[in-house]
Formats: sequence, C-alpha cells, structure tokens
Amino acid sequence: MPTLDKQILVSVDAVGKHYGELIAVHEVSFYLKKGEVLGFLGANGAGKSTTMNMLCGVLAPTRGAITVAGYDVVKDPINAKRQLGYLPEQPPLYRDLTVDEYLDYCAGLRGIAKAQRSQRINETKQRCGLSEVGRRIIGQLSKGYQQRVGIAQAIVHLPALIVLDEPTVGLDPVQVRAIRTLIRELAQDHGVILSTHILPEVEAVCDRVQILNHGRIVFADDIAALSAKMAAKNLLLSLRQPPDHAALLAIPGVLAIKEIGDLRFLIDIDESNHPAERVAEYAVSQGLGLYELSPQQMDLEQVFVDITTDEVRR
Amino acid sequence: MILHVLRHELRNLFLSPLAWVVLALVQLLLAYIFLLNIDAFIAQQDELALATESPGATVLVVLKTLGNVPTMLMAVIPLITMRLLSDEKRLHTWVLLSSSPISIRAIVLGKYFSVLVFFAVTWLLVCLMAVSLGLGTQLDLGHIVAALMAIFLLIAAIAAIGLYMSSLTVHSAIAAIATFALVLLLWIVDSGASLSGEESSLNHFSMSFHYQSLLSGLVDIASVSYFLLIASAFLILTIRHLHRERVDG
Repeated sequence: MPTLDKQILVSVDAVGKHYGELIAVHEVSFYLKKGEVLGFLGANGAGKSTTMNMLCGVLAPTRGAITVAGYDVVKDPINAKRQLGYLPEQPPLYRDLTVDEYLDYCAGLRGIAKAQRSQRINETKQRCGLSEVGRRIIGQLSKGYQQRVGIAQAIVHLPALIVLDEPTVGLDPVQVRAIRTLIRELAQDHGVILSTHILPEVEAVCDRVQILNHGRIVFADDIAALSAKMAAKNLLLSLRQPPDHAALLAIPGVLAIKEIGDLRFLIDIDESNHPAERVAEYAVSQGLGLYELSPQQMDLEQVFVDITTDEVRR
Repeated sequence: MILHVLRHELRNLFLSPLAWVVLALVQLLLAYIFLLNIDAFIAQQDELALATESPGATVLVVLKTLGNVPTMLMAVIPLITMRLLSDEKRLHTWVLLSSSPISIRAIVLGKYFSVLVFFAVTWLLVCLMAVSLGLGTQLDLGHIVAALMAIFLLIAAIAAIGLYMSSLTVHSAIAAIATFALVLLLWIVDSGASLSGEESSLNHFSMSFHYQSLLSGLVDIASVSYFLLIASAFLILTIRHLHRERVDG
C-alpha cells in the first residue's frame, strides 16, 4: 500500500538495532524524497552500515518501521526490495564471473525479464564506464573498476532508491571525481542515500546531510545549514611588527586575541559587527607590516568533531 | 527465481575445477570397482553354475558395485555443498541476495537443486554403468531401479545436510567436515545393535539400514520417506537459520 505522499520515497521511523546487550543503532528516524541525495556521515562504528543494511532488508530492525516507496521492508520485503539497489561497504562481487555474466545474474535477481536484460546491462555499463570490460573476469579488474561494477549492480534495474555505502573508498582522486559525477547524475531520477566518512564528499554531492554518532542522529539538516555552522568565527592576522594588544582589543568587534606563532594572531570576532576593515586600517596606519588577514573558515572536519564530541559530553 | 539461482550455481560449479575432478574421480573409482566385480564374477562362473539358487550378475556385480557408492557420496557431496552458503558470507555476496527481491526459500531451493542436478550427472553415469551389463546378460531391472533410486535418495539427503552445514559457518572446510561427520554418524548409528544381531529402534534412524533395505530391492515407504524427511528437515533448518540471522544480525 503506497503512502499518500508520493514525494516521500523512504521513511525510517524510530528504528533501532540491538545485538543482545549491545545497541548498534539506538533510534533513527529520517526520510528521503525523490531526486534527493542524502548524506550519511559518521565515524567508523557509528551505525551507518547497520542502518543501511536494515534499510535494504539485509538485517531486520529490532524495533521501528522502514518503508521504501510505500512498502514495508519487513512485512513486504519482496516488493520493497524491487524498489532498491544497494552497494554495501564490501562490493558483493563474484570474482570468477565476467562483468557481463555478473550483471546478468544481478539483473535476473532483481526480476528483469531475460528479453530486456542485455539492453539494460549495456545501458548500465555505458553509464558506469564499463563498456570496455564486459568480457573481463571481475577478479582481474582494478579496484576502481570493481567499485564501478558494484555501482552498476545497484542501478542495473533502475530502482527508485539507490543506497551506496562508502562508494568512493579506496579509489584514486580521478576515479573519485568520476563516481561523484555519476552519483549526481543518478540523483536526477532516483533517490540516493550515500554513506561516507569523507566529509568533502558530502559537500560535493549531497542535498541533505545526517550525522550519526553512537547509533543516534546528532545532526540532520541541509547543506546550507551545515555551511552556516562552518561560517567564519575567526580572523587570522599576520604582521611584521608586534602590535599593541590593548589597541587591537579596543577595535569594535574584536572579542579576543590569541597569538598562535611569531606575530600571527587568531582574532575572535563578533559576526554582527565584523571588524576586518578596521583591523586592516589599524595595522596599516601603525605601519605593522600587514601581510595576511583572512577569515578562518571552520572546515567540515572541525564541525564534525564538534558535533560528535558535544554528543559524547552530553 | 529458483531457476535463476540454480543456473548461476551450476555455472559456478562447472567453472570450478573441483567439480570436474570430483566427477572424474568418482567415475574412475566406480569403473575400477565395477571391473573387479565383473572379474570376480567371471572367476566364480563354475561354482555358480553348480549352485541351485545362484545370485546372478545383478546381485554379484551391479549391487555389489552400488554398495560402494555411499562411501564415495559421503566423501564427495560435502566438498560440493560446503561453499554454497559459507562462501556467500565470506565473500560478502550474501548481501546481494538478501537485498534482492527474492525469498530466502527460493535462494535455498535454487542452491539445493543445483547440487541435485550436478549429482544427477554422476547418478546417470552410474545408471549407464549398471545397465551396460545388460548387453551381455539378463538383469533384474526392477531390482536395479530400486537400488538406483536409493542412491538418488541418499544424494538428496546428504546434499540437504551439506547445505545446512554450509549455512552455519563461513569456513567451507568446517562445513565439509561437519557434513561428513553427521552423515557418518547417521550411517553407523545402529551398528552396535546390528553387530549383536538385534532388531533395534536405532535402525529407524540409520541411513545404512534404510539404504540396504532399498538396495535389497525392497521399496518400502518407510525407507523412502526416511530420506525425503531428512532432506526436507535440513532444508527447513537452513531456511530458518538464514531467517534468524537476518533478525539476530
């Protein structure tokens, strides 16, 4: 029974997974709309893969409910699984088969009729840059190609939902870019859930992001909100001559000054009253030899560490 | 869906050298035993001709040869079944199956029937070997058919046990050893009783008891259902175990 809201592709409602005493996922709720890329961030062991395995029906959740395209993954697994393609952390490859044989098997498992299979496989190979290697044995392909075969397997049946667990792990920078481009392309007509612990990846491909820590979602918002969290709160100031601390502190908007090396200062600023110009004017008027003044943007790593360690303290 | 899995498994089996080696060696050994039995039969011709109720070629050659088949099957079937599920776990390909729109039952049956088809090849070769004797002498075909059926039932039972063991572990060698041990145990479970010459309730649990009963030409519902029950019980256990794994992780 499909849900009324046709836009909602996946809904995960208060899902948890317990292994006896050990709780891998406490309680996770989220949703995904069509055409969205949702990024799943988290340290190793945060519960990302467990959540994805539950989403794809590989593991049954201890509690909570998951629906994919309106079908309950536990109660109606066959229909739900028809709607999804999954690339787990370890690509599920039969290394003795050729790429063509393997994709044919996968397509058949996903219920594509024999007559349409070869066309679907050719299109998929083209999309994933595998056209040249169709007859090669998977075990003899490079890691990058194997990863692409893993992605091909997940999209060969054009599922509504594509779940990718760390799709770019172990690839070289060129391959990483190619795969990110592919993911953005896929997002045009599929919903994509992507897990990673590589933060720039999230910035590059995701619309929304969700940070998982110790089996709980500790941050869930769109990329803009994440960028806001990363907004500059510091100015880096480098001079040739030592400044007068008191005078610097007297500049409106300057909250605190910290020396971080020979004549390099980190200035805490009041964002509503940005003092960059005034600091520059001061330094120049005093002839301090100003050669660097830049906003210190917090990078995603810091935000991530902030969010996850906050959670630990709480 | 079952067919799709079956075809894939058969291709995997025939891609691996193990399968071919197994088929060739079984055939070689059986042919040798067959020849030895024919040789012995020819050497005994004079005595047999004098006896009033002589057993004939069916019993002395064909059934004697088929009596050796269980030992080989016990050794060989675990080698073929050991990787069916353990490898899927070890190589992480189980996730592909369990995230696909296919039921666990269909996966298990597909794999099971692939083993049956594979050993049907061996079985057919055994059939041909037995029937080939018909070119030179009169055979009791009814008796031979009963014996061949016993062999196929034995294959079906051992394969199901092997599949179950393969679902329990990621180490294929352990699956093979465990299958062999369990089948051997079932085979000899009544040997204490039969040594002392007593009828025992343990007979009913013994594979050899039911196998010998079929081999002697006695097609008895109890014996046929014994093998079918073992096969279905272990298939159900396999499916249940895989379901539990999904729940327990």
